[in-house]
Formats: sequence, C-alpha cells, structure tokens
Amino acid sequence: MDERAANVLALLPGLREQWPDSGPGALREIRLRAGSPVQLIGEGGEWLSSGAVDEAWIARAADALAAHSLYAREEELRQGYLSLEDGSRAGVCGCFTAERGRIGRMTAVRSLCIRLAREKKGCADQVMPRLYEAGRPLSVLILSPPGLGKTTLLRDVARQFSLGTAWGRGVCVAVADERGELSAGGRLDVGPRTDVMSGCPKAAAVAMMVRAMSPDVIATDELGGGEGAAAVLEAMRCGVTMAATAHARDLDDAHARRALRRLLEGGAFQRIIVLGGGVGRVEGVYDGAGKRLCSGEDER
Amino acid sequence: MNAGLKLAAAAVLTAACAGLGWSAALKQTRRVKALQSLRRAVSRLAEDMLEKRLPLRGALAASEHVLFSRAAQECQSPEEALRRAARELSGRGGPLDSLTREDLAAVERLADGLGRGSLERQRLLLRETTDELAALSLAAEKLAAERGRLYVSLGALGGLALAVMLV
Repeated sequence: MDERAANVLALLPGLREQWPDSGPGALREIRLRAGSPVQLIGEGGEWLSSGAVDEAWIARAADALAAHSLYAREEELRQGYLSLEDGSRAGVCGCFTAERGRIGRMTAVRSLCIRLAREKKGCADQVMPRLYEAGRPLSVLILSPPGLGKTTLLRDVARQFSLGTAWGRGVCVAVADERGELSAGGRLDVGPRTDVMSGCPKAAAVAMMVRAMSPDVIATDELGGGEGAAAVLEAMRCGVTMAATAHARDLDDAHARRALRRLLEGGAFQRIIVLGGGVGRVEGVYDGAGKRLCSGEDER
Repeated sequence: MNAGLKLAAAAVLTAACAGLGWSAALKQTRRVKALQSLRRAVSRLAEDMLEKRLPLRGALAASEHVLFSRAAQECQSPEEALRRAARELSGRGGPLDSLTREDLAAVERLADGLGRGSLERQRLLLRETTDELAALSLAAEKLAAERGRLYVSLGALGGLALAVMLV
C-alpha cells in the first residue's frame, strides 16, 4: 500500500487492521456509508469490510479527514466535498438545512467518498508530442467521466509544460487549484516554473493570475460552470494558453454542456484529450475542430 | 536549653507555620491566575477558530497557552492530546498544579468536544467553556480572599501554640 493510502486509512478507525492481505491492489477510492460496510476500491477490484459503520463513526471519520476543523470548512461542505491535506478529496453526502432556497449548514454526514490523489509522473508522455506547435504549448482540454484520471493527467501536463520537454522549452505555468487537488499545497510536483493559487474560486484565481503572474500557461481542474468558462475565455484573449479538465464522456457530451460548448465553439482549445476504456487510458486526441488526430492505441 | 534559645526556636516555629499558611494562601492566588489565563486562552482560541477560521492545530498553537500549545504538538486526536497535556501540566510542580479537580473537569469537557462537528457546535462549546472558567475564576478569587488571610493566621496561631508548648 502506498504512503498516501496508508495515511488516509490511518484516519479511519479500525480499517487499517481489516485491510486484506490480497487486497484490491493500489487503493483508489474509499466509500463510507452509514449502515453499510466500508467499500475499498483498488486498481484490481473492490473489497467490502465485514461489518457496517454507523453515522457516529462516519462523523468521527469526517472530523479526522478535516483535521478536526470541520467548523472552518463549511463552504467546502456546502459544495459537497472536503479537500484533504495530501490533495485527495472526500465527497460528502448527508443532511443539509435550506436557508432562503440556498444550501445552509450540514447537519449530518451520512456518506463519504474519498478519492485518493494519484501522482503519476510521466503519465502524459504519450500525449505531450501532440500538445506543442512550433515549440509552443497548445491549449488543451481533458475530458472524461469521473474517476478516470483527468486530474492526474492534467497535473503531469502542467508539470511537463513547466519543466520543458523535447518538443518545447519550459514555460511559466500558473495553477488555479480551487480544491487543492492539483498541488496539495506543494506536496505534489507541478513543475519548477509553476505558481499555485489554491482555495480561491477558479474564475477569480484565473483573472488574478493573468493580472499578477503573467503566466504562459494556466492550468485548472473541472471547468463546467459559466463563470469559470468566461474567465478561461478572457485569459485566452489575453494570450494565455489554457490546460483544463471537464466532466464529459466524449466530445458530443461536452458540446451538450452550455459552458463547454461556448468554449469549444469559440475555438478555445487546440487539443482535446478524451479518456476512456479504463483509468488513465487515452481514448483519443482531437484538434480544436473535433478532428481525431490519433487514438490511444496509435500513441502506444 | 536556655530561655533565649527557646524563644528563638519558638519564633522560628511560628514563622515556619505562618509560612505554610502563606503558601496555602498563595496556591489559591495561583489558581485564580491560572484560571484567568486559561479563560483568556479559550477566548483567543474561540476568536481564531470561529472568526479567523484557523484550522484547529494552528488555533491551538496560536493560543500562547502552555496547555493548548502542548496539545497542538500532537493533533491526531485533539481530545486525547488535550487530556494528556492537562494531566501532565497539572501534576505536582507543573505550571497548572494549582487547578482543582473541578477546574480540570471543565478542561475535560472542552477536550470532549473540541474539533468535533460544525461551527455552531464549536461556538456553543467554546462559549460554555469560557462561561464556566469565568465562574470558576470568580469563585476562586472569592475563596482566595476569604481563605488567604485565614490560612496565614491559622498558620501563625498554630506555630504560636506549638511554641508555647515547647517553651
């Protein structure tokens, strides 16, 4: 088991001891539900604990995951997640109050879905040659359903843009890391020429970094909202190259989402990488017009 | 033993007993100071946690109080860390050894809930703790005023009685 998984498991009372000898391989996800067994999902399958956990246990786990500081994380909870110090993220589900039609306070945590951050240096190697033109990085959008490795790939793309590759020299990269998943406060490598703004809403972070840091590339995770898309368009009009991710199964799905359609039809991205068919597998690389440049098989 | 020596021994005995009484009275004063300092630290903790929204470990470390600073050093479980720190610091000769069982119970109640649950829950816990410490501190202050002089007088009287018996 890797250190990150061991550290997260250590926060969940009694789970580490139950971990099976022939476990589900490298751990990717831990799902906790009140009244149900713990579900551990690894690269080799899944494992269910022998006993169920109750709501009090889940509440203690949430306290521990938030470093006993849930009181300071109410805004994150309102958005349905908790960022962990190591860049992992816990999705949170339970009972909220409603205040004037808006989500109010969380009153009970009933489920947690902990997705462990993965750092795979070199996982972008196969796509990097397609992400440069005349030695300059191209704007790239990475698409996939949840859990297929968009963030891991984006982190490595940002790292390689920053470090420099055989196809282009290293450039200044700014990372708008709203949830702290890309850099984990410096624990994950995003390259030597990279500045990170974390905890700040991505639209505001992108605008601030364009003004303040004069980056060549801005990387940000999970585009989809109108404000984020508008900020990305504005940054690109300022001559900044973007590297971003979004939830979508394929290009058709991406076009069906209004904010993404606006970006794609505006020619914001010169390259679109679609992941599919397994964790971290590249289904295809497309140009900005949607023309397939290569499939994952070609690149391998 | 000649009379002069006896008188000197009686004076020393009286002074020693009065000193014991003085020391008992001083412990009451130290308790008042310890409770006041603890209450100030909890108020600061509340401000850092509830207003500045500092994470618990940072807020404990910033409290500038020996109890919370020590607890901040091992924040895996704030409950255990705070209990352990209170136990160690209130031991004989420790900086909080003047605290009574009642005072330490207030610290344990704080330890039970610190860092658990929502902002509202923490707000309530910290308010209750501050109020409890303020009440304890007020009672300790009253007690110190009442008993301080009493302890010194009793010590001196006890010393005198012993001296009379000796002489």
